[in-house]
Amino acid sequence: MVKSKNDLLFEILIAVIITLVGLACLIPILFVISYSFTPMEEVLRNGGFVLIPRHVTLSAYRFMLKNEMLISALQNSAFITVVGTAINMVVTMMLAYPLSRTYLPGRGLFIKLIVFTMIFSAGTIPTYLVVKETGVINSLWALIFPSLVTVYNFIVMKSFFEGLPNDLFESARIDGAGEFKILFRIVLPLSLPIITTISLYYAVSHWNVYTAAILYIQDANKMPLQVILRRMIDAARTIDLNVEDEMPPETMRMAAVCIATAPIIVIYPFIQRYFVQGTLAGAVKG
Amino acid sequence: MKKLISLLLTAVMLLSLCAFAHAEEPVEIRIAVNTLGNGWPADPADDFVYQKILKDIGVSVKFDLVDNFYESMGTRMDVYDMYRIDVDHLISWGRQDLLLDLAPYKDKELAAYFDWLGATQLNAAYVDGTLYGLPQLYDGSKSQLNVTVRQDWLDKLGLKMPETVQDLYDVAYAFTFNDPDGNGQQDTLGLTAQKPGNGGIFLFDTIMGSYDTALGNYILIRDGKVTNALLQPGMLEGLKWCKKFVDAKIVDNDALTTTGTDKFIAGQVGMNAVTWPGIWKQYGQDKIHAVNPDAVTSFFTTLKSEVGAEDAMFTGDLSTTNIIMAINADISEEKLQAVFKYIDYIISDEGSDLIFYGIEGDHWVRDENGNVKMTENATAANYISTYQIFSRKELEYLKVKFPEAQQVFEATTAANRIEIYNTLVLEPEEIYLEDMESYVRQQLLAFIYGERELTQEEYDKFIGELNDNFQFDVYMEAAHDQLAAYGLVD
Amino acid sequence: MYWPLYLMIIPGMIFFLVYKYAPMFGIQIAFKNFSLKKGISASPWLWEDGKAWFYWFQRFFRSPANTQIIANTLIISIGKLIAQMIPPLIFALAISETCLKRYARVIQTISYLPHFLSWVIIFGICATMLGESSGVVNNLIRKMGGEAIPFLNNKAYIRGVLIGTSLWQSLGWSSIVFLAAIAGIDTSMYEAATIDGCGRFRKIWYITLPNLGRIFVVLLITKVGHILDGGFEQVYIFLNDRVSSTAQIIDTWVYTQGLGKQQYSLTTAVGLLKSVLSCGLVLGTNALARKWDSSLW
Repeated sequence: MVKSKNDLLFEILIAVIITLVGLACLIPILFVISYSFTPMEEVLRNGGFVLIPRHVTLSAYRFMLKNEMLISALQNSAFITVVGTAINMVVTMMLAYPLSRTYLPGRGLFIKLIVFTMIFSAGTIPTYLVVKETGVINSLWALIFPSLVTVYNFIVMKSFFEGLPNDLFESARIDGAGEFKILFRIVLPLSLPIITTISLYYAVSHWNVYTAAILYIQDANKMPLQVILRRMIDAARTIDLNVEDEMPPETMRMAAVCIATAPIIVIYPFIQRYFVQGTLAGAVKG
Repeated sequence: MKKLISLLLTAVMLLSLCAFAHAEEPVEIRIAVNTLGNGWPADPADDFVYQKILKDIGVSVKFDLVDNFYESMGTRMDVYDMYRIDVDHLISWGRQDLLLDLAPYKDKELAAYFDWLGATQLNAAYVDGTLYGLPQLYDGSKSQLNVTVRQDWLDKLGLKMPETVQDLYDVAYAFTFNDPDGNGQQDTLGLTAQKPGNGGIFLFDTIMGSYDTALGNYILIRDGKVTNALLQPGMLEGLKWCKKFVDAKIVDNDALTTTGTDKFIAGQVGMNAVTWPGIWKQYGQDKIHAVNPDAVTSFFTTLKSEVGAEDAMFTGDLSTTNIIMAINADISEEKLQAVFKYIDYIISDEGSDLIFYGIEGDHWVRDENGNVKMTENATAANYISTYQIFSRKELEYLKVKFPEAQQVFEATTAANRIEIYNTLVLEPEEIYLEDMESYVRQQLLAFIYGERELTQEEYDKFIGELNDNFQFDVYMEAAHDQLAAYGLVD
Repeated sequence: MYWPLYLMIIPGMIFFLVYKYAPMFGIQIAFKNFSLKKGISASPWLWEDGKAWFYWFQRFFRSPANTQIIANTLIISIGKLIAQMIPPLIFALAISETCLKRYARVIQTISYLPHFLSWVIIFGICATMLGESSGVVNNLIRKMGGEAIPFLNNKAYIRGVLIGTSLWQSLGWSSIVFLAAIAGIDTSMYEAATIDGCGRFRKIWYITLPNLGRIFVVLLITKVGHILDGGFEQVYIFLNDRVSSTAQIIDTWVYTQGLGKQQYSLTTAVGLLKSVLSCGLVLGTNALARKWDSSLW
């Protein structure tokens, strides 16, 4: 691969860049993880900065895991993430594909209508009233339907579809394939990188949902993970208001990040392979 | 076997009879709060206070945690019967007719409660003359601020507990430059502070207190007249001292952005202006000793006044009753009566023992002198503070729960505080109060940190800016009129 | 003949009509004295209460702080916009170009982790790293004989910190979409270029970058639409009295004036104002983009 001196220099340069980025991201993350496992005394003795703890404690995790709400919160979050993302993807693709076809009459109007909602938003109370009218309030669907399509994700997907070579569609149409067949048989397999990306974006936003949950959900047993984690931290944080509490809130906050992020870190490497170059070329040749 | 079955049958019949007798559904009241006690039981079946209240008065009292309280409440006011809110929102909601006018009940159903409140400041419960709020009990013990000092450092360097601002400076200087921890490195600082959650800048409030003022727009009453901390004669001198501390690099500037308590516990700073629970509870002391086994802490509450006033210190809004209970304007008569029942219950001796300490014999016992003593099991009752909607007889309560910190909270309670009256003053509509207060804090800190020249002339110019750009003078006139209407000044 | 295509967009368009357009009737409270009790329709119009119809807009423009906060918002936003567009693009190029594929994958996985940290945590990390009296960085500086730098409470540094932390948080995450776009480029183009004897730089310059142009412009336009936002959550957490003159933005100002006290009318009015301006900006950017043949519509 490496051929000339120039190339070698270039390789070194980009290796340095990605290494620096990696370190800049790794050290703070390591700090968060270690913090969650380090006894408070050791954290304090080190001026709040511990990268590799000498002693390890699980007290923050034990404290959080014994909370009976955590299990239901995990279930709720898993449900909205899996079901929500699936519905998001189907609707977004079905919206993005037709609107990426430049020959579709009225295309510009539809896109403008969609982009307009990114700029003009209605505010909390009116949106709440509509969510209530549609009958999903205080159910997990309130976290799925009102965020069915994100304008940003729609635009990214649409522009990816626009970049697909036109002759693909032509030949398919000549073969007599309908639009639905083209979307699911041709576009979809060719778009794995972008589909993975957008799914990831949707999934993470469902997994991290907080504001919508506290506005649209009232019952504690229907709350998603982030709300329950934040409640546990807040209960420990109010130390000057409430003279009773004794769990270091910082440690809990760090542990909460680890609990909330771990599933995504575990899943990510499995989806990462879809980012590999060459998906499209193979398809065209084949 | 037959016997057993018949026994079981009888038991089942008895149980169903019982159920029948209680078939009358208990009235449920729902109270919206912005925080629940640590370890709050998810299931009311595990909540012994809930169960006992249900049994004693037949009311099902449910507390609901509303996350991001004020933002979320806009969409669910109608869900709750009672709200735990601050005075700002009492005003805003009261003016929108969202709250129940309590005047008709004041001398009837609520008479016992108002009697129990005693001398508590009631003014803040009124909005434009209508009684909308049920204030918390205020027995003068909410001001928890003290300056905690490393006594072992003082001893090592042969210093005395600071009594004047000059002493404070000397001690902070020695703590910074004379190596109080004896590790041969210059890695310590003199003074830090907890970051206050309710106004004030604890780092400098000790110093400003001895000049009978504080850093911010705080309305005071002096010599029977309404005035402002910004207009106090000692302001300039106080600021000069603050600047001197900053210039000498003996204070922890980070205390303006993050709390300095951890640094104090870690032995990086020798003095900490802090509310007492963080450090003086057994838990805090254990933390300090885990890091520095030889650490000894002591404290002072105020420095000697430099302007001939009482020795006093400003403690943010801690000294006013800012949290208040209010009732939904659309509450049904049945639920309203249940609310009154609950109020009467928790101010009764039996009820208050329950919501303060838990179940007698389980979480606490009475010793031979009739005093409450917490048992080993007491931590199981930590969550019940949520039920204390009108706060509590603080000193009595703290002595039982935290005997280890008794000397501190008794001293902080006894200390003089700079009383402020901001919660009683509504700004005229054309005034941008938040902008003004933000500008005031910005500029005061600019004076202290040398970004603005600290002279009488420049300070007068600053007050002039407040008058010209923010109508500070109009605001102060309004303050005078309103406090006069309350009869606090002539 | 187009009906299958129209059929496809029905679910999505219904969503936008129901959850995005229907609530817009609520924008009228910008011209009302909104009362929670009366609700949106029944609240009195401003002129019915004897006020000018632009009362809430005036409230914003008469604030003594308004020029400052508008300037702050623009400076911070533009800084963030650049930080969220250029470095992720460079990082994505670096990841896709390096020959250390396995290593690059690991780094890439690490790089998106900051996205999962809330601003509260990031602020905590910053305080530990950048604090003036005991931060890790300043301890190092002092050890080397320098003066401590008050990163978090000096008005000269705070904007840099806001932009820098936002870059740090979004670098890896924003680069994902560029990586996906790179992965979507037809490899036969590269093969053809190799046959023509193109070197690496020329391939990047003539194939990769032009192919990323479309997505870049699209992202730019969506970001321009948010240029008056500035990132409320982050700024609100980093804000303190020593830096508020250079860090207070429109949204944090509105929060202290409005939402904190439930002044929904003021919040809606300022929101409307921002939307109108953003709309102009998006239209303008899109018209410019059209010149390079890559507009949104």
